[in-house]
Amino acid sequence: MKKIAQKTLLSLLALTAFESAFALDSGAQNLTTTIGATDYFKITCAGDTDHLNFKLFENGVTAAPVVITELSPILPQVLNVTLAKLKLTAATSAIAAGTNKEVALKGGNGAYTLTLDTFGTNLTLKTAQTYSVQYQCLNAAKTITAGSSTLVKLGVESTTKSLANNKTAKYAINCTGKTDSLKVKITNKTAVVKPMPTIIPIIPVIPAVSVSSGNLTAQVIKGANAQNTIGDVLDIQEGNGDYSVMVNSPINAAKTYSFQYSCLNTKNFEAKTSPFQLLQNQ
Amino acid sequence: MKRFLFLMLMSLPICGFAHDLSGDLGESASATDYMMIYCSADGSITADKLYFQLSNDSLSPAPLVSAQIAKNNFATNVTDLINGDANSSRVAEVAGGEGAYRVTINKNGVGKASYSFVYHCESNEGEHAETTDSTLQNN
Repeated sequence: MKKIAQKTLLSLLALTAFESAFALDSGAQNLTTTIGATDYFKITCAGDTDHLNFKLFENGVTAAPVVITELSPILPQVLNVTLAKLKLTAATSAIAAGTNKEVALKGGNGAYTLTLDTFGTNLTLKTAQTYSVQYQCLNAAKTITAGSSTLVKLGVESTTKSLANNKTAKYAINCTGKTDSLKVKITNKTAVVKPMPTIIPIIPVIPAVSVSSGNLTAQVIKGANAQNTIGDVLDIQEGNGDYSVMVNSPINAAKTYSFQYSCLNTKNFEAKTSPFQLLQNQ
Repeated sequence: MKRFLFLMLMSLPICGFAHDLSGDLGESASATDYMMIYCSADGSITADKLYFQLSNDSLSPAPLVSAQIAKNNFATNVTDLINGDANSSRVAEVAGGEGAYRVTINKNGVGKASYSFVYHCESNEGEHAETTDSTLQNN
């Protein structure tokens, strides 16, 4: 019986700026002593595939699994806001990238000071934050009264402003009429930084006897192109579509093996590789 | 690198035209000759299967030569285990019906090799059906 474990592995991690290739791994496969035993697979390439990269490993073990873990979500960049009028203050803090908060101060008519800072932000992120401000002077019935600011007109969202880490921005807002309170909405427009997976490659462990005994062979075929391997890497340059893979033993021996495969573009970057389909298991 | 000889033999026990091809494989371990064999009905005789038998004709020490015959989702392997002797591989009968059978011929190592094979399409009763071929790759 055969175990078919479709595991995504990193076969050759070329951590250069220009070349990196992921490979899928067949997991352990078993070839029996059935006369003429041939395992038969289909591998489908899509995207901008130029060629299929294929390698056969005799005796099973190919590469230890690559552990792909995600970092904890990256701490966001945040803004803090304080509204002040004379000795009165109101504040809201930690307005994270991509979110908004409101702050209100019941200070009557007159000049308010709106202060923004970045205290507590993720200083590893160097990009200046961007934000917008919208304010309303309100009477006791929460109806808009009158107000003005050099920042923006009453009730209108400001243009996008920016604020670098450890900097402060201040704006004056003057409410008139029968204003009871000032309400300000701050929208942090900074792009959210997505967590990046950290990839821990483990160098493939290839048994010394693995690939050249000649007692296990594989053929990869597409179109009018057929190639044979006893362990050497094959590159079958036939673009997108279905590639056929046959694995057999000239001496009809029971064999454990695995193979790695990857659909690559002309720059040897991963194109789109679908997990293999098993057509025949002998 | 390869020579293909096409001979028609009248040697099958029931009714038969057998077809015989021979060729060479180059030095590389990846060298693969590749052809299609097409089976179709011959009058009332249906093409139910492909008969195939391989011989490694290499005289000097050479890798083993194998052939794989595939149709639909079935594939089998035949190998002549002793080079240059009078015995051929086992006979493979691939019951794939009418249509194109894919045949690949290759070695289990580096080194040149010579081979030949006999093939024909036949009915379940062993009657010879229409058999044609085309070479796709010659390594």
